[in-house]
Amino acid sequence: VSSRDLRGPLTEYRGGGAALPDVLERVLDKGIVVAGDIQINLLDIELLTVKLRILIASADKAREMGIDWWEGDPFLSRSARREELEERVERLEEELREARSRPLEEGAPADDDGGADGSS
Amino acid sequence: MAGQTAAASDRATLLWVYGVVAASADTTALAAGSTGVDPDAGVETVAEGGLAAVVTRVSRGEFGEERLRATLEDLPWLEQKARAHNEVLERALEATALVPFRFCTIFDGDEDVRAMLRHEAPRLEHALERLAGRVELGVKAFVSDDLLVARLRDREEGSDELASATGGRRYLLEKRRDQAVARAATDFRTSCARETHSVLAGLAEAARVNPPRHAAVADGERDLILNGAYLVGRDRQNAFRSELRALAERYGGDDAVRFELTGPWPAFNFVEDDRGR
Repeated sequence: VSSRDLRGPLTEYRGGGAALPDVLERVLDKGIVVAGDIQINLLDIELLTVKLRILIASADKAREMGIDWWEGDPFLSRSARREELEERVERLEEELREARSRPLEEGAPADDDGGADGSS
Repeated sequence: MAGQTAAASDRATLLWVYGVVAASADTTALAAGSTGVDPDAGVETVAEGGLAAVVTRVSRGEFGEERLRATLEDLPWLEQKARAHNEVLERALEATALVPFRFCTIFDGDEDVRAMLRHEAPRLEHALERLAGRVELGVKAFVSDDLLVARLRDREEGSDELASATGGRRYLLEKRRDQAVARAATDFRTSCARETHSVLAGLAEAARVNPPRHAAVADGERDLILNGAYLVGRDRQNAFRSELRALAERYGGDDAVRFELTGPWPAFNFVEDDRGR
């Protein structure tokens, strides 16, 4: 029913008309995984999909072009969220270290945020 | 644990599992209409408790482990089986909710399928419940860099003293304009993809962005900037489609952006909620 050329701003493909990469992306890489008796295990399948990606697509072209916004978006990526949390922890630890060392510097020139000790 | 010394007939010993439905689901149309991964064998169900696996009996010769490793590398074979796996699930989806299984989930006999259904029941039932009345839709957005740059350059050029400038000054102004256009193009890609995703996610029960892997497929001249999957209520599919049409009108006026909608799919993207990526 549907040929693969995209004309106009939106093309809709319904059941069966999907292109092979769309099918493979789902069938090979998604779907629930249970322990089967015959396990062509994920490693094999993943190697396979890597091959397919190379075959079918210009694999990481998008990343080269800087289209990787989903990776750094805390809303979209769990690993990004973890990074964000780690960063925050680091920042807090640093502030704590600074706060601990501050009393020793009493009387020194005020730091660049204007001096928090209230002397005027 | 495949230690059964069951009847060693070549056929009918292995079961390819497409997915799982409720045992009460109507699967008569499924058995009648589907080809499956083995056209000679047809599609049937194996039930246990409240669940039923949708299966095809396949031959050890074609689907045994060793053979499979080799044939998986055979692209025409793979395409045929991958499409068959998806089509059986698509047909089942017309009549009922289902949990799609990953390609190449194969069991050694009915009893092992039943054992799996018992063992995985909580997880499968939970997934079935979550997916009931919902389907997966896929949306991709492609950008033509040439057309986008042309659009943005027109915009930059209009306001400028560039037209009257000559020589070295003209060169510098052009260079500055090109840099501004390149920045604007990057910004556009990001904001178009984000905006599209967030509007569509607002209409979906769940949403997911996949890396744009198949960049060059639909059109060699275009880059894939959004590869999204959306779990949408069956009764909200029309709303979703018309919202996407509106987005396509908005972004795609001069053909710089094209959108593609696929589905309804079995909810492949929404069955493993503990996935890291």
